[in-house]
Amino acid sequence: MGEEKMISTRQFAFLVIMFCLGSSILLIPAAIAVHSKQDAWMSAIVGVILGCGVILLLNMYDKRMGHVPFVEACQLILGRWVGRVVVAAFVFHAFLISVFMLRYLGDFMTTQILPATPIQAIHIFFLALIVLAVAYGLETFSRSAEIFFPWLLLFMTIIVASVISMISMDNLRPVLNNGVGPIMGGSLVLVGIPYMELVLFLIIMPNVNDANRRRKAFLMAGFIGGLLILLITFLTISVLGPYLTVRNLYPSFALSKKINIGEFLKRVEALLAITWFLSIFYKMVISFYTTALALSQLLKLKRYHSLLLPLAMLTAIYAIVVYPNIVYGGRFASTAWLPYASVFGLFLPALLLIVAHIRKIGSRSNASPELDSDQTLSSESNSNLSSSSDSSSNSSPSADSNSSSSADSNSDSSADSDSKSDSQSGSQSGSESGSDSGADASSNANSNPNSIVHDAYGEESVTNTIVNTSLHTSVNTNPSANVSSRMNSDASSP
Amino acid sequence: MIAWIIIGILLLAAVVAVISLYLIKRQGTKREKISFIILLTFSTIMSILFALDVPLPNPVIAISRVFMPVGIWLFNVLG
Repeated sequence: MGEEKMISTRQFAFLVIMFCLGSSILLIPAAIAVHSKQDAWMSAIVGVILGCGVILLLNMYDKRMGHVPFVEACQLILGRWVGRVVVAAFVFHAFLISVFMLRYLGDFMTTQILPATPIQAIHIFFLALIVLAVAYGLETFSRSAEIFFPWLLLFMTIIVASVISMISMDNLRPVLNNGVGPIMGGSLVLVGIPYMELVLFLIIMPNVNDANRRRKAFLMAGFIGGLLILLITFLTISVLGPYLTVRNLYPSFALSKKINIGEFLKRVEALLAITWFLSIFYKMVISFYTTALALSQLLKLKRYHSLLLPLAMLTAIYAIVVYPNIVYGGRFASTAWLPYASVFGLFLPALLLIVAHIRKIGSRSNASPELDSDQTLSSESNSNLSSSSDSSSNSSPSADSNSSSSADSNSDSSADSDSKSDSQSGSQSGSESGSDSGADASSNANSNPNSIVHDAYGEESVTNTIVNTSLHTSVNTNPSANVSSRMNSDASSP
Repeated sequence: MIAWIIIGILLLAAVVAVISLYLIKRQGTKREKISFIILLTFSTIMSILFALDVPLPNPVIAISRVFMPVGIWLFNVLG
């Protein structure tokens, strides 16, 4: 029954690239340039390299535990209760990321495109779209990513081609004027914003075809996404210069506004805006999907769809509550986000890997052995416990009729799985249960990837004090000024 | 005015409940129903509090308390 919820490695790679671009493409150039000024492009290079290191870590995790859905794997590795607490924190993190994505979009629309529209209206319309996409399920939105990705590339190509004549190398000098330290600082911003957030994909990865190629695709896609960010950063710095870049809230948007070819081709900034909408749409779809999926698996539901609308209500409220104003959001994203996101993006996978190694859970073998082991495991588990996969019964309801029918047929056997997992408690059964769950995942390609998500939002690192004061004082969308004053006292920007 | 907002929120919650419960009834489980009702109640209460301008617990402020000093330290070290 497994095939319904599998996505191909190519779709997965497109999702990763979109995820990397979402929010970063508009916000990152300024956030980096705050630290490293005209050397921001070097920061971006270092950041992409460090980010690929993060992806390698995630790949190591996937190699070891990729056959088990993430939520299940957490409970398997850390024990049932600690695992549940960790999953709950992960759900919270994923929720927070989707909230931030929504707010970034709202901020952008209200400051740049629809200044007279209340931000809540924009949030609600966008959120309705997100809920619809997530309700259709992983396969459907992955396929749509395949459709939209070429458009994104086309628009970016147009922008890059029109801007390229305006590059002025003088803006990049003096090179390395402030030493290496600021460059590292700028690169950490880039690591924090898309790369630390990629942990969310651990929930999706068990649903990607071909366990070996997906890791390579993950790395390649992260690298390509990083290169696109590097390209945009380089263009922004070299065309606008470091000071204008830092002063703009959305420097790449300002960059595309400058396009003017022979007084004929002008005002193409909407292309960049569309690029950004597309990528942030997928970033938010992924974070919202992981929130709902991980929560449903935590609660041992078979489907996540009933949680979508209440979660959307909460998201709409919290998108307003999280930031008192855009300035505070920028400061949070550029300073507190990296250490916070690294808790989930770096330390959590590392912790899971170490504990799994100590407890000897998961497959240690490389290459293709996972398949073999999974199959043996699955046959074992099937014979032993006839129940192995309830996860297979999670069908995306609205999307595929066949999946639901297959889910029905399985539902009997799958219903047992909860009880099964309950009965297997304690570390002694750990390896056994691990194999069971692995078998589940492999036998039903459908199995919901357990998701613990965290990092999605740190994108708005752009704003610094300068930016804020100049552009956006008038724009603060939230009435709750008291919070902002508190925040300001807390945080002096670096 | 506030009363109308609250009525609107309750209406929205009712619509959500009707749609979702219909779907759950068709192919869901009891567990799903219970978690949906709890979550929806929570969301509705939060919405009403939000409409009444009650300050809601803000995770970002808590996160900032803990991680902002770390971030500032980190970026200061790097210049």
